[in-house]
Amino acid sequence: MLNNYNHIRLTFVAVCMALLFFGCERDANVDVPLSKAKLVMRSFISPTDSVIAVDIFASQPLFNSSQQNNKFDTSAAQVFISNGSVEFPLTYNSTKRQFQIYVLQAFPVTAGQTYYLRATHPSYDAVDASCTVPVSTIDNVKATVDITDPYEVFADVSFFDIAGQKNYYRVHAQNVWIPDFSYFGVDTVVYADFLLSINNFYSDEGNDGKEIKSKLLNYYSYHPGDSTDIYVLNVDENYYRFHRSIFTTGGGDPFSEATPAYSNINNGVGIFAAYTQFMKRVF
Amino acid sequence: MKRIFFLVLFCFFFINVQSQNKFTISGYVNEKGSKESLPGASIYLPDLKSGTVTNNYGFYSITIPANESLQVVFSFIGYQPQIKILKLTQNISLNVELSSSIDINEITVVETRSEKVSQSTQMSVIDIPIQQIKEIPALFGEKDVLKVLQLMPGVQKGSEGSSGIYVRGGGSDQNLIILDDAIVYNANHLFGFFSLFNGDALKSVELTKGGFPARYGSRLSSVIDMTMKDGAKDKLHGEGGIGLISSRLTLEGPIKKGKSSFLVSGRRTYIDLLIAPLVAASTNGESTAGYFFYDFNAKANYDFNDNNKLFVSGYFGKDKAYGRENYGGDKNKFSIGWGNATGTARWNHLFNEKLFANTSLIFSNYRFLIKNEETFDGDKYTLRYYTGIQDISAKFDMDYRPGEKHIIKMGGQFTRHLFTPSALVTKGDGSDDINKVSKISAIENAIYIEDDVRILPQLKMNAGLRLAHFYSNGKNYFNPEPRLALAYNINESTSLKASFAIMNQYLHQLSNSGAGLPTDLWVPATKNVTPQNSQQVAAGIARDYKDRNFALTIEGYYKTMNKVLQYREGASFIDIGDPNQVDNDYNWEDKVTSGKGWSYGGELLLQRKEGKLTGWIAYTLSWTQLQFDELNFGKKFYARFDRRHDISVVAIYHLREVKPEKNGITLSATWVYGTGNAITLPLGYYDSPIHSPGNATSPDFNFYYPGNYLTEYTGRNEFRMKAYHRLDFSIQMIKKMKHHTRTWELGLYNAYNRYNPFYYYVSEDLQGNGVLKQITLFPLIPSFSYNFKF
Repeated sequence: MLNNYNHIRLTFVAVCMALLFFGCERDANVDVPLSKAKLVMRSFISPTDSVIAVDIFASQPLFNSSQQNNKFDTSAAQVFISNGSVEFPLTYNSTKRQFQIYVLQAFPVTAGQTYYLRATHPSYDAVDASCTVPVSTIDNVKATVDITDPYEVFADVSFFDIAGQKNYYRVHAQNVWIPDFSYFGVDTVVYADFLLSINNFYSDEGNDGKEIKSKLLNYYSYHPGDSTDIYVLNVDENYYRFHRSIFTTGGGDPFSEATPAYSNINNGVGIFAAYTQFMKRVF
Repeated sequence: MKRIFFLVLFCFFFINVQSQNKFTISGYVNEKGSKESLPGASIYLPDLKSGTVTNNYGFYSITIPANESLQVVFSFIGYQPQIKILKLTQNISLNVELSSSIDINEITVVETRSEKVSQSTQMSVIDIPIQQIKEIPALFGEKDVLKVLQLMPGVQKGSEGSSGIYVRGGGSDQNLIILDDAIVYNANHLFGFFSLFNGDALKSVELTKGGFPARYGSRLSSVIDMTMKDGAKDKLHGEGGIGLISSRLTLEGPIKKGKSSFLVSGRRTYIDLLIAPLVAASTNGESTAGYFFYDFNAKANYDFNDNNKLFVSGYFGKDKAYGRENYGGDKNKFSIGWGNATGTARWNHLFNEKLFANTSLIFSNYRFLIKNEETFDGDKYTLRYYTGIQDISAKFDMDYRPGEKHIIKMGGQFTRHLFTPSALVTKGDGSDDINKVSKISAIENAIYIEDDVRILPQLKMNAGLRLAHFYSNGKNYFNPEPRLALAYNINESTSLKASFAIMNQYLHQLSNSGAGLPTDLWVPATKNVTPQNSQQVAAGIARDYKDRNFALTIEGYYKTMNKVLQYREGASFIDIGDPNQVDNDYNWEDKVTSGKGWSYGGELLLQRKEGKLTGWIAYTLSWTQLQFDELNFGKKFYARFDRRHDISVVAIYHLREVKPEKNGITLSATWVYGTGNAITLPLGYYDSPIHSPGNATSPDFNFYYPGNYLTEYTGRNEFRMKAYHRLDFSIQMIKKMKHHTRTWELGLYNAYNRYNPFYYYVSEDLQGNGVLKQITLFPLIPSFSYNFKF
């Protein structure tokens, strides 16, 4: 049996579409914008990470056949990160197809610092972006896990907004299962993420200094001894707006307005954002 | 407030003192025969170069100095004028009946004023004779009041075929659509392709798009005021038609001759009767599906005496799309239905020859309902999802005419709204039954006063004030709304006009399409979602070309709108919350965001209402922009129905007689052109997954959840669809039969078969390249219908 909500959607869409079938389809014969392929750059940085990783690739234009399906040569790109005074090149990791740099060794990521990222590629326009790491980290988090139903795990998470400043947060959780057997002779830890939702992302607008409560759900078969990792990220505005826009663009709702995803990459698309992270393991 | 009150008292006192040595002519102007009242009829005194007009109930009153031989001309468009010579030495009560049978070869040339746009104080007002609406070509031959209004300057249509109205940059929810004082919340049948107003039951249609008099409020952009016929008082009349998709019948006649009359009018489609057997046959009887709409108008009135009249009227209409499936022993039934119901009881009371009052009790209800019922393995599962709004109102209006210089109107309205933004009830799903019904009540009140006053022989003013109040969920809003309209006569036939109006709107309609779909949701202003408001200034010139029966108006306007609502990016009516998302309970306030709007432009209307050739040419040049902090990254964008150029040419030519009761042939044509709608177009796509939190301690760490593609778009509404243009023709052949008059009508919609885009979508060619495709809804469509009248 179909889910209740699918019934509503399908019924309404069916009737509307039936009406439209009376119409006829043909080429629009209008001048469409021949957008060119752009560099896509994305990276999330945090003081808790040991590695900064930057992905570089190209977008696929819809109407510009000369630039469609071109094989993108990632290795031809060059990526640089700077803290405003010193700039470092990132190294290409061909296995991961990423540009990376060890932050602890060469380039520490620190709270409150602004970082600048730029990339060049011989076939595309150069791109650049900047972001500032949030000053504070949330560290007083209450979290309880409800396993009353062994197949539905609920996590209740609450914390207080940092008063007097504009803040954005993300709440996330993972169930952690350490099986008492090993795969291929190797001890394995299995992480099962709680459901991703736009409601995991919070702004303190209008609620400065107030408590933020979040309830997360995971359809997960809970094993005795499993634990739950609770994450509360203090994220910058870029991180918040980008992820919110992912959930609101192209969500499959035929009645919602087409909306572009958030991007802070100049001359290209993608995201360069920063966060600080608090993690708590609940047993 | 106190000051205003005393000022009003002073004005009344002053006006009464002034009028002590004068006499009053008052009464009703009705149609000859049926005794149907004629609102807006002109009463003109050529010697004094003065006059007045009848109110919505056909009442007039004018107080002037004594006169031994006073010429009074009564006139109304489409009716033969009447001249009366009166000896005015005492108050005179005079009811006048105008004959509607004008033979264009026998037009009596008298100096009248009703047609003179240059003489009225108000600007930005359009009234269309119902007879013209019936003569203009229409899609499938279905005459449609709202689609005729779309042919006027400053009024944009939405998508192809839609009867949605967008006035001076306002949204489709910003129109106050009133039928006999009752608000109609969804004016559309068949997902917006037809409006629900049956022209046979209507007496008058008036559109106000700026310079709003104080008696109107609660919407930002326009007032569409429709009045149903009262019902003929002389004998039984009938009118009806059989068309391609619907048939209609109207009957009207006396209940007690000269005292009371009735009108009933109904219309129903038969799409379902045609489609259902086809669907059943194609599925071996396992399935059936259909769609229909109907509407029903009824009105009755009773004249207790000249001072007391009672009117009771109602409208009921419904659309329903349904389907049924049987597979094995299992069954599935679903339906989507929506409809309005309105009811109005009105009591006209004449306190004296100068003071007329009307008291109305009004009911209005709109509901949208989805039902689904499944029987699976013997288990029954039902789902009902509905939204709606219900109003109960009391309204009091007074019309005071102390002298020839003033027409004072004042009154008030109390309305209790009951909103159902969302109600979901499920049973037998195997999981817990759901019964989530949210209801919000609200109170909306207003009092107003306005005076249409001749300040100088050349200068008229309509000044008014409306005090509006709204209460919902513990939050009160009070807003004064000053209104002003000025008209300065340069000469007998030309006037300069200007107007200013502040409007507030306490009800919002949440709409994704803007096309007037039944799913569009009415919600109240709340503590978090504040009322919309607008300020509009307009200026223009109005000129009558008396010899040729032409009227020309040119107007410019500038309107700002604040706190207008739109869904947040990605949200829609269908986003009612998923119980799987535990903290995602539906709350419409979380789905909307408010912003600002600007609309400005110029409008030209050259109109001819009488003669063998009637019609108009309308041109609009306009810009409409919106800005929301949370949409389009805060940047301004054009509204979807922003239309730089909009042209309509309407011509109706009566080949022989204009009298519908005689034999005749009427040819009509319309041509429309409009700049394409502003839409958002996808340009490309790229992979951009969601970040996965964790500690990246090695280069092998996976930073992302895989598999999420994002689309690159133009800026919001940055791309223009192809321009829209279309030519329609119709011919009506009228023949007087023994007992009735019959009319055959043949029509051609989109006569040169223009493929106008309804919407665009992106497809791929054989090489995998993106191709923009369009859906055209209506190519050339012929239609015919048979109509009769007795």
